[in-house]
Amino acid sequence: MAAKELSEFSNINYLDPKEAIFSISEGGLLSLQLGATFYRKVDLHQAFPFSLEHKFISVRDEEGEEIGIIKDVADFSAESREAILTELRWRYYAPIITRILDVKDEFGHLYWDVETDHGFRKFVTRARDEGIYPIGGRRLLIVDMTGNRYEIEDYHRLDARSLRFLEPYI
Amino acid sequence: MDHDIEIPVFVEKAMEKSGIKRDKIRSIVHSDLDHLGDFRASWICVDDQWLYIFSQTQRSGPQPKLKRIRRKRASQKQLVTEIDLRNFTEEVELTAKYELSSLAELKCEYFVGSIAVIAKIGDEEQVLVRGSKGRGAELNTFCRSVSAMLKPKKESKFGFGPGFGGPGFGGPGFGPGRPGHGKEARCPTCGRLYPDPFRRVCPNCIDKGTLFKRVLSLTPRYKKPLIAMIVIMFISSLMGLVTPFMSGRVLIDEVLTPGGRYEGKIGQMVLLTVGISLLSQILRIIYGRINSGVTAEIIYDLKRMIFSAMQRLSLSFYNKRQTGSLMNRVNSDAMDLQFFFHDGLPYFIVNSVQIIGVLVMLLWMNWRLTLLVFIPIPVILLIIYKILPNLWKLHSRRFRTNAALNSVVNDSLTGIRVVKAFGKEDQEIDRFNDRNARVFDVQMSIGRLSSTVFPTMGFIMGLGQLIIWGVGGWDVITGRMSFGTLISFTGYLGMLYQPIRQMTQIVDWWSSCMNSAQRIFEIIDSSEHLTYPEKPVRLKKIKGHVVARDVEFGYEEGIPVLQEINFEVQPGEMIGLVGHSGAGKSTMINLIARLYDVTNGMIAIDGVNIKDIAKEDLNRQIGMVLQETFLFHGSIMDNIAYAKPDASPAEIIRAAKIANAHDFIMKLPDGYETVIGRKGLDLSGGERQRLAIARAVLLDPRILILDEATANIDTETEQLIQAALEKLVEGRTTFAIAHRLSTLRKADRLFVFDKGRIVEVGSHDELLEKKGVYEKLFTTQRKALELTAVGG
Repeated sequence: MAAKELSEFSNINYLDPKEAIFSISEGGLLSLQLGATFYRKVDLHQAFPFSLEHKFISVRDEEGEEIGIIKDVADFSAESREAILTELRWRYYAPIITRILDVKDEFGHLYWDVETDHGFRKFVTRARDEGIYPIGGRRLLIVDMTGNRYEIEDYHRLDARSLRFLEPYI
Repeated sequence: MDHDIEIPVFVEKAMEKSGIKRDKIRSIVHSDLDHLGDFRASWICVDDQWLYIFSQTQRSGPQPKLKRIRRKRASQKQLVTEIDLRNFTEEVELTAKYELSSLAELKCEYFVGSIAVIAKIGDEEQVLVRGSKGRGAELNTFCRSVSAMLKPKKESKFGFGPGFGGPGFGGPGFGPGRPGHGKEARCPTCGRLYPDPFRRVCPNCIDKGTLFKRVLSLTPRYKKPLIAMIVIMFISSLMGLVTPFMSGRVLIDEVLTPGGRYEGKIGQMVLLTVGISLLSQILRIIYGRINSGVTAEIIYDLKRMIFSAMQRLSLSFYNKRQTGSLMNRVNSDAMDLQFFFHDGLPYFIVNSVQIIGVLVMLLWMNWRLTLLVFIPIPVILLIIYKILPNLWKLHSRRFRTNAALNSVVNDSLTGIRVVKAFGKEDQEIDRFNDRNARVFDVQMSIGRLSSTVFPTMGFIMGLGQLIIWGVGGWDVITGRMSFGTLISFTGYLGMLYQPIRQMTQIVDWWSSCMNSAQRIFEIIDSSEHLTYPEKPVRLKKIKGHVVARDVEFGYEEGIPVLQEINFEVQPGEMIGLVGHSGAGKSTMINLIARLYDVTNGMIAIDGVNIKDIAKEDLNRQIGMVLQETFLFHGSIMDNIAYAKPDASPAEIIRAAKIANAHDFIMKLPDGYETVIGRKGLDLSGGERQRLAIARAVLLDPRILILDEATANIDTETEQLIQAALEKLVEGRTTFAIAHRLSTLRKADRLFVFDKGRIVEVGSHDELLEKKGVYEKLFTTQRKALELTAVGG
């Protein structure tokens, strides 16, 4: 039982885009000016990371307490939006795979060699399709053995060679 | 401080250029993301005064010669295999430096998809480098060791002498890290990434020969039957080679042909053939009997070994791995090995003997024709290597789609009440149809592919036959070869393709068997046992004085669950642990009972580090009553006596009486011998709880641990249990966690946990007066209870 009034649990506290100003500090951390209160460092948690990436984002202070919820990033000023999106990119860092150079199925693991929007990368996933999660439509989330995440936005838009590597596992 | 620090050559070069002395470097760590999130290597290192950050500078040209570079570096045992030179070249420069005196702390922050190393500079926090998740363990170790350097040495809070701290005590050092802290993420031999960076085993390069010997060494008493099996297999496959010779060369050329050596001796011929086939059947029977006995016993031994090894493992081993998949793995790995002895080994022998024997016979009979036989083989190999794998992939896909289909059926049938209650029958039908359609698709693909591939293969193999008939037939007509030889030849040819096809799978099969063996040995060899000293301290009768000093613990690297825990508990004291769920209470008692070992710091009982106390003394004198009482299948009596199997009936009844369990047990038809657990009688939560208490009473522990012992129980039962517990607590050091704070009023002191730390200590009344965290917790709970009381 947390030390909160019961009503606090049921109300969604949306942040007012006019009151809440997000910015990235010099040190590279996300800060929030909410009315008169300044939070030097806030954390973002997406409620629906796959389907509504830019909506319903919980903003929490350093103690992990929820300050409020961003209903839609689009409602915020350009500067705030930029800061929120930058932070989200780090927090949910997942390079997008643009080309698959090789997938080897060996010894119960898949050895990948890919090109992403952030450069070339080799990684290993668990046996067969265990590290490959369909996240709606033709979008795939690939999680490697160490917990790194990669995304394929639409596997039908990959080139034929890449798709051929992927095909047996989807 | 540490002379073995490995620094990549190109970082060394950059150090030289910036005038940094390489041998002053105390610690270095590698990360892999730049400020834009691109994969770019960087290194953070510290000497006595500065913290430096180096990064790759140049973007690679279009044609990086990756292999050459990697091989060159690997021989120098450098770090270069960590970075992908396709992204950036190996040019490195110093990009930032910070004076250590300006830094207060270095910490790792874990996000969903990346990691940030954050420095506290004065009041400000700053991201130094970012990294991918795989870098977590190393970055975190680095941060801790640097932070330890930054902090002034703390005075010991308790009066323990030197040498009291266990291994690893005295702050995180630069010493040898845990497994997984090594530098290489790739196999140094073949350059493959390790599938699991925490388990540095390259499946390609494990020493399969040694492994195989070890598999055999598991079973020394089976050496003789195994050798017998191999010999029999060998003989019977040799005998198989005789048949085509008999039916062609001998029967046609020598028996049926006028002027043959055995002309007209059909009777003897038939008898001989019968004799041979009888003999080979007998051999086969003997083989089968030995084989089934031996493999069953080997598997029996293996499973027994694995299970007992698993029982000895520390709980943390299970936390990292899902228990279900672990069980499956053990079973399927054991199956793999069974396959190895039962099918694989004999196949291998039969096939090799057959291939070699057939080739020898063919060459001996007609080498010219034999060479022609080889013409279709490349095509067949091509099919085997290029097309059949697709078919196997489809097969595994069919397996998966079928599993998905079954899970839908399973889900909606077990949840049929929910489906009906919400009227979602149609939705379930749709879900089923969707999966069913996928199974259908795969099935179709398999059907199409296999009905194309196999006839084609058959045709190509048939071509070999046709070549023999054509060329060989011509030879027969022109008298260069006898008709019987031709018949034998075609007979042998039929024996050649099948073993070749099977042999191509042998490599895969061998690897997968050895990989299974490796995993089994991994469990057997795992060092994740709690280690006990060779000469443990014996504590025949624990007084119950418990001290925690600077205890820190996390289930996972870098995510501390408990931090800076310090307390001292006197013998006989009752301590209540309170706090929100997830505050670290249960973890704390797990540490006191030594289900896990602390990451840093120390817990001592009666002045002895619990790591040094003999296991049996600890187990005998620490009793736990947990929220979820697991009852084993068996009688109530067995369940109470689980921790003390030699307890007398009188002792068991006494324990049950103290636990207020005697009365309900006596009402059961079979009394103490009522069978409970799986398939047995289902007890209510309160009854199970009281059995658990009886278990603890019987053990008569000196230190008692109660984890939510009265949760999920109605008020009346709670009173019964509460009364039982009060009797139990008397005179023992007790640590109790309770959901309802009111049940802890009898505690001498309460420890209030918040976010992994103890934030308040004191009696119920003292803490209420303090108006801190506890007071807040207490009032909220009382309000909530009042609310339900009014509502109910």
